[in-house]
Amino acid sequence: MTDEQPQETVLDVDQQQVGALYAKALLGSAGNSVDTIVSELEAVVNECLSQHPRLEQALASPRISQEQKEGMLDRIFSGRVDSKLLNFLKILCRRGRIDSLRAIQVTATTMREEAMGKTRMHVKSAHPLNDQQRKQIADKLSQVYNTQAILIEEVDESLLGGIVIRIGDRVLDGSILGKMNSIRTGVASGVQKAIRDRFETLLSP
Amino acid sequence: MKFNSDEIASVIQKEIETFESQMDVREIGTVLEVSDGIARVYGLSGVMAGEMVQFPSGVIGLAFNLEENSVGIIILGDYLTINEGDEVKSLGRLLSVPVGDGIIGRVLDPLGNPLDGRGPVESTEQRPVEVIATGVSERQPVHEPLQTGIKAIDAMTPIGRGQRELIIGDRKTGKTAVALDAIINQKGTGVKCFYVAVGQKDSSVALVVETLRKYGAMDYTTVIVSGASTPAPLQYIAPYSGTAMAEHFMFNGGHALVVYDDLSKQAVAYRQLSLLMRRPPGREAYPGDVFYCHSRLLERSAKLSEALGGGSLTSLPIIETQEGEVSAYIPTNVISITDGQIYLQPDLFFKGIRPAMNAGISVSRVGGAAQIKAMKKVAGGLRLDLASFRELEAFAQLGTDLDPVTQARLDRGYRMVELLKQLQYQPMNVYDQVVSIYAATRGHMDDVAVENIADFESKLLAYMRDRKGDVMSKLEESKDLTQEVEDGIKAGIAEFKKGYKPS
Repeated sequence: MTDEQPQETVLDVDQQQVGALYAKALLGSAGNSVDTIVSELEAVVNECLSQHPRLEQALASPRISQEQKEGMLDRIFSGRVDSKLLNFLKILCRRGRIDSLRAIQVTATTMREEAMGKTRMHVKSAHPLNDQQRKQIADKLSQVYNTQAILIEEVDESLLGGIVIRIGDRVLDGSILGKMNSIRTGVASGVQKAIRDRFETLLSP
Repeated sequence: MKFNSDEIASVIQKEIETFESQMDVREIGTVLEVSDGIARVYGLSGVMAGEMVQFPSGVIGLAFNLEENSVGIIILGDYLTINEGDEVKSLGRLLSVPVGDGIIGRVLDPLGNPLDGRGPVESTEQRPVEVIATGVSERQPVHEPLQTGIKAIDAMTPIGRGQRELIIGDRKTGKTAVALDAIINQKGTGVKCFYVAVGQKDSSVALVVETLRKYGAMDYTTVIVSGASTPAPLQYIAPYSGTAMAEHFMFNGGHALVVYDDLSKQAVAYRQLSLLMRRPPGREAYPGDVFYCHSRLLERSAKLSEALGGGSLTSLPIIETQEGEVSAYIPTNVISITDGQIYLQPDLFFKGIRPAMNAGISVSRVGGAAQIKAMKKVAGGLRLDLASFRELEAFAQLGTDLDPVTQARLDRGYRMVELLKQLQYQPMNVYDQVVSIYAATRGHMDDVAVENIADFESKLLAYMRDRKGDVMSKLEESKDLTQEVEDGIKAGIAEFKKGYKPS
């Protein structure tokens, strides 16, 4: 049990749905302290649960009673996080939804960003971006999509050059790799057509 | 044979020079899971039902189920090359197949890729596989005949251009044979034929193609194959792509005939897909929309109005029943959709009555409108006579003494049944059919022994063609049994009978 590798959130459609529901409820009940709650939730997930997987196991375990779990949460978080967030964590324990906490946190963050008119955009480039490029890309995207762009950068040398931008499900591919792929299919079909149309002229004498 | 590398290089260079680079904008999703022929994908939030998507291996899929958190994709190709986590790209197009003269004479898969090893399909036009059928104002009533060349069918259950006539029967009752004869008989009529093989053994399909080629029918026929080993999505889509290819000719004022062999296997493929997609099962575990699956397919057969060119698409769907059970789900559905059915029975088949058509329960709801006048005159009432003969025959087996009138009816019936037997791959010209059915129904064969009927018929027809060419050409001209033609035929039969000796 202890040497279980902490895994990146795999795509789990059901958890996503649950996450969206709870995140909406959390943001709705947060009132004025919504920004604190979102950042504290992020801290809870990244700094406590991810650092101490055994805590998460304990919270998810059916063998530990609800009172013990709530006591545990009180001792760890009381006074350190907003009381609403603490109650929220207790409810998650009570409902057996603590396993969806990561999905809830991710969705809550994106929902909060959306509400503030920000959009996450993944930018993949062959080489690390410099500040000027970063600013240019962010400005242009913000202007086109009429939103404040939050760039999430990734370096992938296989692109060879150019950038690939992903916004939600939409991908804008301006990379050399993508261009080369389309040139390849274009040339292959062009040559095939030429062979079909004027087969004789292509033969060596 | 060797390519000139300089020439090829110049072609490549030209292609690269003319290549226009555009920013590639696409919508993507991620594969969550893959199972037999289907995949569930996360993302693709803007995809529309029926839209094409592409997997990294180049395999094409169709958006089939749009759910709250995922999209169900049916995979038209090798699903073993797809992995969890693969990026799926939506193409923003509907599935289309190549159409036009380039596909005639070819053996294709349901996506229009060649299977006959004769190079790529030379076609510039494409047509979407799923389209909404033409409406009421774009149609006209069926009135031209589509001759199958089979006496029993052309006389009793005539098929018109634009009609949908179901061929139904148990296994091994000659369903495919009827359809093949109908295709072979379209030679020289300008009707383009499409044979859609769904879920059949590849060996059977190879045999069909070979037969069509042998009888010269591949010059105007396209075979669309999705055999028993192809994944269910392709079997499901095959009839629609065959119809799309045939519709192209209909909308250009031509005539087409499409045979779906067979729709029960397509329904089974659709059931498999639907169950894997977790759509709720209904009767016989078929999904609720299996009726719509067949009705929207068969509704695309039409006789277009003159304003649209007057083209037609005739379809011959085939349904295989189990132990003669026509009241199973799929048979009743397709019976209710089509404009009539040809019911083939195993007991008739094994008695040697081939085609083994049961005249009593086979009908054509378009009926006489799809017959030439001459045939209408000689064959009117034939179906009912034959059906009442069957009853009488069963009664006569009790061994009771029969009055002469009944005996005469029985004798006529035996001769009719004998006459309607026809060998496979020997479709008959409609004017010959008129002459032989005239001879039998008007009693000119009553004095010929039952076992000599076939011999009598073939010799009579040869005689009429050789010696009475003028009568036959008049019949062909007027397509009607005028008094003059009738007298000519009658005289011809009388003359022939004088010299007839059974061989």
